[in-house]
Amino acid sequence: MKSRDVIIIGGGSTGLSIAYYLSKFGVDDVSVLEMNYVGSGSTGRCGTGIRAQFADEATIKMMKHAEGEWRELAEEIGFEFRQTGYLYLHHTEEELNQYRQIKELQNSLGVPTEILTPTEARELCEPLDVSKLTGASYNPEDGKAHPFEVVTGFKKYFQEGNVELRENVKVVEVELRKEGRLKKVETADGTYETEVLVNAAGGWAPAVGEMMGLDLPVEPYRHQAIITEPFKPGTIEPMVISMKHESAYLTQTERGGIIGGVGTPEDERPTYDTTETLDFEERVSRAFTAIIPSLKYARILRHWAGYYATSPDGNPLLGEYKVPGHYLAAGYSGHGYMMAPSVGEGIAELITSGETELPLDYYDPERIDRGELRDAAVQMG
Amino acid sequence: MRVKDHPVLSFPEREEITFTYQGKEVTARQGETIAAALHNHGVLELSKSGDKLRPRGLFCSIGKCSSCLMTVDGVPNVRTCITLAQEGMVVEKQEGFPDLPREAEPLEPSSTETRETDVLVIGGGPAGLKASLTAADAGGDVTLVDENPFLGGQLIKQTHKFFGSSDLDAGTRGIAIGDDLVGAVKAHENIEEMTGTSAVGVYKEAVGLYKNMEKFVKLNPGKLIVATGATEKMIPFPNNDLPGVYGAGGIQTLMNVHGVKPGKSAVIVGAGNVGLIVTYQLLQAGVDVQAVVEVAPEIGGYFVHAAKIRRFGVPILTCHTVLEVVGEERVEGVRIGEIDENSELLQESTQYLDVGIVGLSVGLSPSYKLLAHAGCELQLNPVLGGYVPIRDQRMRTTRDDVYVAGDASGIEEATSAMLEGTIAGADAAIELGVGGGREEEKIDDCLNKLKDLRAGPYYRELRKSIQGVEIG
Repeated sequence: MKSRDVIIIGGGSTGLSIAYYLSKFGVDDVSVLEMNYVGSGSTGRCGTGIRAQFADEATIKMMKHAEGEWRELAEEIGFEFRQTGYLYLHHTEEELNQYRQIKELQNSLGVPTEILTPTEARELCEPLDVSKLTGASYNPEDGKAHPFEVVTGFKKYFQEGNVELRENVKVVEVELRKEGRLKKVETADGTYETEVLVNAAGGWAPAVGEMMGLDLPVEPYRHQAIITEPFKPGTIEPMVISMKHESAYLTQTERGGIIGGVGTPEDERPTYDTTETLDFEERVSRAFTAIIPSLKYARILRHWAGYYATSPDGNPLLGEYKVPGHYLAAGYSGHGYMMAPSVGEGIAELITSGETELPLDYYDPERIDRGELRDAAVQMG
Repeated sequence: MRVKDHPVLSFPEREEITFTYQGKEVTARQGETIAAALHNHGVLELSKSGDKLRPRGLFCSIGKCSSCLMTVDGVPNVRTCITLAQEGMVVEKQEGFPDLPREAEPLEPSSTETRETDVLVIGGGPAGLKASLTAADAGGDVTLVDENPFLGGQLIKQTHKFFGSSDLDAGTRGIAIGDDLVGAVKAHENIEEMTGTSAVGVYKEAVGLYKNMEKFVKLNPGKLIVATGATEKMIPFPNNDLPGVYGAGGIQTLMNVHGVKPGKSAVIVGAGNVGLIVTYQLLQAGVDVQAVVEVAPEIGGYFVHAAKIRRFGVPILTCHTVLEVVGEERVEGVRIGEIDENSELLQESTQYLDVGIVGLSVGLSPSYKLLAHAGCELQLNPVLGGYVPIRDQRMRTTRDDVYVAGDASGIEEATSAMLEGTIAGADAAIELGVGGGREEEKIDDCLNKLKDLRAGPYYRELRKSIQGVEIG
């Protein structure tokens, strides 16, 4: 039986990022256990976007910090973080005014969001139909990164250090000591002794929780996305968001495909079913062509589904939880990928020193047990 | 270049239309695809590839390979091999990934509709035509969908007479069988034909059909019969992507449907039946075939087909392979060479052939993707050409409302495709309760004929492979 300082369950952006920062802080004796392959869960199915345009102080701080880290990670690990901005389209005066207030909050925390006129919005993305817009919010520091470049970048990075990354290894049991501390993590292929366990299993976090007798407040909601055939790259640079059109988000990948989706319907129930639906294809087509009419010429090339692993208040659950040495990093409700560097750094700091300057307190999982629900962060993109 | 004085086919004069290509006016025959019309005028390069800006020309000619994408009337990525040329069309070459138009009219709210049908048949080749006719004869409402602008699949491109016993259409040319079946489908009041229509997915809610880039139809069938045929396989050698390298079926479409000669001289790669037949068809169209190159030590196709082309003096070079295609913008020649039993090249054997056409007939892969999307269980089966669905003798897949027939169930030929289509159509009618009573009889008859067709030592491997994917 191997003994490891830290076992991380889940090889998505969260788990890999936590392992990266732990090794930065000198904890090399780390194993990441991924039941499938790296990025095979929500990470590899996400819309690729990274933004600091949120409406609450904690999330803005987390994402402002994350964007700085994304830049450095891109350099060090070798992927592209393309800071092409997020462009929120506004369709009424009321919406515009609401976002003016949000902009003030974002500016006060160092996020350089600006309010654009419809004409200025069109200069950023020529094919946009701006005829019905009252304005747009734009943060040039927001951007996108290809999830598979990111996870394979981490994978290569770990080949040189002591972080052990194992794919196709499923955790089957977590054993606790009598006094309630962690003892062993048993996998389908070998057992580890550890005192620190990180649950970064995304949509499967509740199953890991169950192994410790915990009923985690995380539920998987199917979220679908599409990508079209490629067009000349550089045509749709920003991530374009339109709340009016079913919370649609869309952007262009570096190869040229238009990637994105629309919000989860209100009557959707938690499910592990990732079958794609014709209903989504129709909704996404209507929304996208309303935002950019010429997208009616774009054929959908692929269509897939992943999970928004959702917490009761739509905010992540981050920190040590119930079992000493058990850290939860899950329940992002749709923006875990973009937040990964801040979560990685913050959780690694909690594990190594017990404290962090990042506002992880705000996401303390015990808030749910205490009934202190936060305002839901806007879930899209 | 038009085909002149064909021994079997005639191409009657049709109305001439005019469209523009790169700002210049070009002519086309009514009913001809854009790619065929351009080919006739010597335009082989239709676009430059997305990433590396390599020249791209016609390859499969049936809308499956995306090698012929052009911008038509401002719409990017139009498959010009299955889009008919029309008066006044504006056709432009794409240099790399195309521009997304900056302006467009909004999508019409009426652009989708929801419908139902007893039987949906996807693919209008031999299997799909027979499936449609059988289900419709039994009294079912049938919708027959095909991406191409006309029905018939590969059947309407076969100028040779079929073999076998006379009740299997032996002695009749494929093209005549095809015309008969297409005529019967068009005349049948229970069959609605939707050509120019792509089936984009088999969803829980319905099958998604995209018609002429204009209308999205959500069709709810009682039974679905997938008869999507196959795609040409490709082999690796330098410049295998240059215009002038065609799939064998691509050449057939160009010559035998549109009456356009693909060029003056050719080398055919692969001496299976398709390679031998397309060689003979090239000779019929007046193209000089310099050699048939076959990597195996023996000819794979029937002796009769090989003898026919030998009579024309075309050498069939076994143990030979393509080393490279030579050319910048199109095929200018090909280097071939002989290999020994260890697949090592015999250096002194290499030779250069000055040809403009390299026709690949190196096998076909079943077009299984809709079956995969439908959740049908698949098996990788090399003898049958690739992924094929598990099914029973009545062509039912592991989803009881989804059938398969023809090459999509495993690569064989047109006769077996027609028999399988009949079985699938008849069983679908019985299951839907619309059968007129003769369907069981038809199924028994077809099962017997399939057994006869697959008899003999030549088909031992095929029989074994089919047994391997059959259940119940």
